Amino acid sequence: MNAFVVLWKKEWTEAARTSKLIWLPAVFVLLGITQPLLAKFMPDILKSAGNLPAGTVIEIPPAQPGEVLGQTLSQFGSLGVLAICLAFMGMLSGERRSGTAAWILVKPVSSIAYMAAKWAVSTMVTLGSFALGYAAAWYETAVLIGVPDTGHALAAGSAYAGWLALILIAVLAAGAWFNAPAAAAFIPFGAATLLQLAGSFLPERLSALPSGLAAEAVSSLQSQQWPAVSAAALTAIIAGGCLIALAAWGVRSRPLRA
Amino acid sequence: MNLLEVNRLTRSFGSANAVKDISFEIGDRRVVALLGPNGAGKTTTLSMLAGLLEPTSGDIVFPGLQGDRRRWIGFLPQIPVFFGWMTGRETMVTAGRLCGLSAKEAESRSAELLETVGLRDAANRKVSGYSGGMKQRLGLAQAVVHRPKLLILDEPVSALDPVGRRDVLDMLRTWKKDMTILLSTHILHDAEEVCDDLILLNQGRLVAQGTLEELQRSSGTASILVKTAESEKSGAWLQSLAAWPGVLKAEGGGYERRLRTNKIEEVREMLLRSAAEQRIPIVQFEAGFPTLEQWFLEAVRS
Repeated sequence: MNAFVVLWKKEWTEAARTSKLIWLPAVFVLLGITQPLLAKFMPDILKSAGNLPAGTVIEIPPAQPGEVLGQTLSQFGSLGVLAICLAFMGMLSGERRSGTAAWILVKPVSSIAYMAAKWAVSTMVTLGSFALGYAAAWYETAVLIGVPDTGHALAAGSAYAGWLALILIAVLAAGAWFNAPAAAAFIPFGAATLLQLAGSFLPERLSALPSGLAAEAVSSLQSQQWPAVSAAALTAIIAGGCLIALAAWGVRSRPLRA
Repeated sequence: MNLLEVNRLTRSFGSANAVKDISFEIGDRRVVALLGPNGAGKTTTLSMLAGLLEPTSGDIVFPGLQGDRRRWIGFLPQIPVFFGWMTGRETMVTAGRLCGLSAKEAESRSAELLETVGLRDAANRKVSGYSGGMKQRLGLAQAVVHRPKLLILDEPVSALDPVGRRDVLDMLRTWKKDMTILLSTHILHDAEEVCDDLILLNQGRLVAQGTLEELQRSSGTASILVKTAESEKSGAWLQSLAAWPGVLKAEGGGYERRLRTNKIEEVREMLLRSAAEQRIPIVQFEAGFPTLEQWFLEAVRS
């Protein structure tokens, strides 16, 4: 337990000194405020873009607040997830490669505590950034378009947070097996993108995929219903458990470079 | 009482055996050198002892110590790496805390050890700005922060300049009162200087072990080196030495011979007397057990 606390503090200090605590929230806030702006001004942008024959009539129905929040979550799903993978790709693989992982694990520290500290801090940083970005989107939508339903927004946000937490476990597991940070970033990113794509092609049949958490969050905001995520949440938890086991196995079995 | 016992330790990478079937014991408060040429399996052995690498087979036992053996071990890798964004003091405190020291104890130990290794003035600078020698010192300091019973050092002096080398050897000499030290090196002179016991590895196998004296005696034959000025007479005299009683082997040519003998006293006396009687112009004469270097080369080649 002591080791976990010490490592937890170390991870926080590292996140602060490598300015992850600044740029990751900034990415999410930026993504969060652009979508409502785009939704609000899209008709004007199209109009002023020109190149349209005179007399063209463009009719875009005014965006609904829930719809805009849903679009924001989709943005988080592509660019946001990429930012997360890039931010945390080196947290295990980088330390393994440089030998700092050996520096820690040669001391009486369990590999579980080592990884738990990493996961806890990366998840807190990510979910904090996500919450900031989402709150910014909510505020911007409320100002420009209309006040979204808070209950639905919170429910969808929670489901989405679960999806992000799962992606972080995947980044950690990939880092436990691959020494190249690029592999640690792009394997989870690719897997998340594929899952989201698969879910969007067959939304009815594949809603039980872990990516159903994200898909349901988006569609529940658009349809103003409560997200139905029990099946997706269950598979996400199972997948998370498997990935944690995989990560622990990787850290234990792969020789550490001293 | 032995601090550490290693039984039939083996580690293979794929089909290659990096370490094969080695067994040895290390007594409490001894300083032990793991010797061997590059690729002998020194680093692999030390990594297994430190718990960084699982042995393929065999066991490592610390008689009388229970629980996680990493608690009793301090480790300095060949190339020490640290988090560049930490300061030297933070590195020390983090190391201490991870080894189970209280916050207060970690602070005081850090201050004390940074002073010992001469990093007091650099303590609050980022480690990324440290020189190689400073990192080596920091590595030594963090390895003993929790007062380990066994300090494992992988090539602690090979990369240092003569001043740094001297400092490290002096530090080891101070610490050997409090802990057992196991270090790997290929610098024989250093091993000779600080170590009580030697373990020689070659190609993953244990070739010899014991105290320096034991090893020299068991390598058996003492040797005498004679060098004469160049003359026909001395040439013939040197030629005749091989046939003397007590001389096992005569190596070398020209006007220089190295004689192997198991009766060093008698052969030495005979040689000197004969040289004096026949007025052989000796320019160099050396008698004794082989140096560690000769012994090392011989053991590795055989």
